[in-house]
Amino acid sequence: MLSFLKNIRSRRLEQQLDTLQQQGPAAWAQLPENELFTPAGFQPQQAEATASSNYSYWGSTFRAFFKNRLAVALLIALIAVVAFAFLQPCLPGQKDPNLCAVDPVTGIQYRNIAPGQDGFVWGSNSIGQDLWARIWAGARTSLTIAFFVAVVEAVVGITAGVLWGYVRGLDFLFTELYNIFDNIPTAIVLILISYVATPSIWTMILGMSIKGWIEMARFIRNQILIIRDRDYNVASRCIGTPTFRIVVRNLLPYLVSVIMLRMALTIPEAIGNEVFITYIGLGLSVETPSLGNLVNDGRKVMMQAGLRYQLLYPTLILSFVTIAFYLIGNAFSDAADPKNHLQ
Amino acid sequence: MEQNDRILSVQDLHVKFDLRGRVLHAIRGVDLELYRGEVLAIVGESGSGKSVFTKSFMGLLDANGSITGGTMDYYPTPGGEPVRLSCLKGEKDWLRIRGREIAMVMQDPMTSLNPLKTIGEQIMEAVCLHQGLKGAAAREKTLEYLRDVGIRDPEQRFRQYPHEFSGGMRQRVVIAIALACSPRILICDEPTTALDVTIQAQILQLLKEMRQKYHLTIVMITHDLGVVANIADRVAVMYAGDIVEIGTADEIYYDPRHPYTWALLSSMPQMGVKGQDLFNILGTPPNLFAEIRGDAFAPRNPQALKIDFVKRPPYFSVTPTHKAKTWLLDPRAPQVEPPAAVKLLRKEASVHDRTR
Amino acid sequence: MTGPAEKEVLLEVKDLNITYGTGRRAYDAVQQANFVIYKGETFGLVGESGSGKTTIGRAILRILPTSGGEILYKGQKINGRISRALDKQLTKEIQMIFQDPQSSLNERAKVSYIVGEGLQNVRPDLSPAQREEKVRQALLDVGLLPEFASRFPHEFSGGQRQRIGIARALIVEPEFIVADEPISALDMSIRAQVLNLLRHLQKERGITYLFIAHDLSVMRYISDRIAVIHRGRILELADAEELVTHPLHPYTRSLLSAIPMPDPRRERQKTLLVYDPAIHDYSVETPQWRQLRPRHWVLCSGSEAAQWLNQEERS
Repeated sequence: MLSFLKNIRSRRLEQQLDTLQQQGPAAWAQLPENELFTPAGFQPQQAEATASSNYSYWGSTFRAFFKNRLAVALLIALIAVVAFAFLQPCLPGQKDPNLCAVDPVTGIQYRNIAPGQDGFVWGSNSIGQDLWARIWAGARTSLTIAFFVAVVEAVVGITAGVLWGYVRGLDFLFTELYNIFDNIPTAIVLILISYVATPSIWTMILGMSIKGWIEMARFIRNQILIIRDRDYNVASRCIGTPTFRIVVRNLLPYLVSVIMLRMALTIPEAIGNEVFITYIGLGLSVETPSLGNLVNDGRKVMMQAGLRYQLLYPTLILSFVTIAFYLIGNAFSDAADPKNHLQ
Repeated sequence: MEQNDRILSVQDLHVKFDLRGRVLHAIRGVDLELYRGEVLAIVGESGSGKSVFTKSFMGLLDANGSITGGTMDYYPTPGGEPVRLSCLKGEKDWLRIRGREIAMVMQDPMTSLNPLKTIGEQIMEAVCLHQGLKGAAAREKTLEYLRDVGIRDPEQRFRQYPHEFSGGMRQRVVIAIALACSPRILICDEPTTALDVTIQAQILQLLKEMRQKYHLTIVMITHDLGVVANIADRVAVMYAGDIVEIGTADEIYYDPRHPYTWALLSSMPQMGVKGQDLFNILGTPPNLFAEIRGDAFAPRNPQALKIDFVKRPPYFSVTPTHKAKTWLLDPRAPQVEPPAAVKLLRKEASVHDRTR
Repeated sequence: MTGPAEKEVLLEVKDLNITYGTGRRAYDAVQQANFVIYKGETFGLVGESGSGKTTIGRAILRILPTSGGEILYKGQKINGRISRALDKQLTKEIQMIFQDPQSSLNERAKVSYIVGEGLQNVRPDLSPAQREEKVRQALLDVGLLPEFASRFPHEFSGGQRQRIGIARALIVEPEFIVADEPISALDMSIRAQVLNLLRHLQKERGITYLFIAHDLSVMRYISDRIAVIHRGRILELADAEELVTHPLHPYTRSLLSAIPMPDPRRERQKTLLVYDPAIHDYSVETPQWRQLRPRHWVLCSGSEAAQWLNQEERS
């Protein structure tokens, strides 16, 4: 939208320049030969006027992104899925995910009902819970965890990374910290946290962010090292700009696209971690449905042909979300690279 | 230089770029004949199209650029069959020309060299690829090239990496790689702009020697008229995608006719008088997205005539080797005096003539 | 511009040493540099890459630390640790123009922010409207149109970008500007524009310049006095015309012979002088800073002094 408006503006400017140029010369085209060879009179302003360029960084980034049809399609689908996950409870006729539904007529639990029967859109699991409701609830949980992990990692990671990269004295401290953190496997941290505190959404978020921020910090630090001593930052130091403003106005704007890429990749990673932890039995309890729980339950009945749907649907949602975030993140990162802004 | 001594012939070349939905007309109808064994300098500001022009000889235009009109013919042997460069499409076709027939030396030696390979390996790669030598013979040839370009202790330098060399040395290595391709035409795209003035002079000296030894034809691109006074046989002045004046070095420096050439010569600090303003050209080069009516230089030219804004000037010949695209050379045009600096150079020339 | 009318010393560099790294990997970028810059003049510092000229410039701006010696501005020492008050004063009074117009501007900020950045720091009392007015004026002063303030740097050519950099340095009204190769990255035709601008600004505002470059032809035109620096040592110092017409040190001669003249016949006949540091034998006599001609000093040993003066008389 913005680039479209800018296009209009630059085209109008060019038209103005053209009329300026024409007002003299257009009339002159009609002159007889001997008059044509007389001096034109020099106008310095005409010499200095330049048309404004129609390049805007974000405009070109979005244009490049929208050219990638696959990424756009995935983005739309992803937005639809995420929106639906959070809106689903508000729809009419939705069942409670934790309710073990009982047939009012026979009094028997609706166990392992196949998809489409008895009002269970995606069937029910072994204790009669509606899989459709459970999967969407699980998606909500997993996405919430992943989102918070990404935000915490970003905030803590960027702050730490900027300090690490910009303040030379802190480099040693952070590097040692990084070496310590890097050597502890994420799984161990998560397991420890699960033992210490009862697993809930918040402990999971805590556990995953504790290790995640240091990676973001290192990444940011490397980028800052690259641009830290460029002339424009030295110039800002010369004119007395305080460090905080240099970071916010000179450094971070260059990192926005990189940060967004990393955040986009953090989300599938967090979901994956959550699935893994739940898979090995240390994750959320069954009362809180999550994609990990659902995949785990599905695995248990995987060998029976009729019940495979209990694994299939959660896995589908999980795969779709993971792949979508990953591809969109990469597509956006490519679009944000100024070298791809030529077309 | 006779007609069948030409090595490259360009007729009415047009090159356009697609940029964010708009079309940039970078080269607007250039005619040029390049003769075997000469040094041709192409002089112009940034944005004049000089780099684009030479990149089109080698098929190195960016993906969004293309030749939309005109022809380019390359004559590998005197009087022989030409290769129509403007028709070459695929990489395979261009690989027969690039390096082997036409090689390029670019401006920044640090980014032209692979930082992860020793310079010996990089030169040997060219030797093996283009001269078919292997092993010890290739190594010997590489050392010979290193000696040729003036690098002392070539055996030791062979094993060193680019970052261990100074800027001037690196540019010598780049020239050695270009020579190792044994090309017929060597294009130097602002090879000395990133170097100090002393190193600049030495590199130009080196290019002159290499031209002699390897029978090269050199095309030298620069924005600095001072740099090529030493080395050029002919000079072409480029502005807004067109060659506005071309002639032998003597003709261009001592008898320039186009107002842009006058402006370029006068604005050099060497021509400045202390305490007075330097002659300078006001404004910026024109917008090549828009269609340009008349002479592209007219808005910045204090001596422009009305017809400069109406119709594009054709070439007017001053001598058989010197022509310029300016209406000032038309017999109907008034007499215009060139700026003081140009007249000074003319006077110096006649002094030279008398003292010889 | 003739020699300085007032002999008031604005900046003095005394026995300055700047060393990078420590221990075995120590590299002496600048050794025992001594010179004085008078108020209102343009002092040229010429040398090749790696000679230490940029290092001196950055040390004056306090971007780089020094390892020995003093830099005195208006009599006060400005290298090493200084008080906050002095720091504030210096930020306003000493500024820098950078070499590369492509990397010296913040691409993601508007020109109005870039040019007004210094004002935000040294004049926090100004309201945004007042600042905007000063930015417009600064752009006009350097020959740009005021409406450029709302554009981004990438919309401008190299020469215009360099002028934006100059506006940025000028807006805080400095008395001393270090111009670090301000025209080396520009086209020939644009260099003239920028040089003229710098001269006009000096005439109007009485700014003192330290002009750093590797090209003597530019120096000759714009500087009042020139110092030649090679591998961290200042070799020769004289008035501009004097240095160019009577060069004494062989390095200066080689720099002069390398200047390209737009005169093909003269160029073809020219022999290029190449400087070889090995021609000096300082094992017996250490070189001293000697005045060999009026207002013309050279770093040389006694025997060299006699030899070079002789050579100069004869040529």
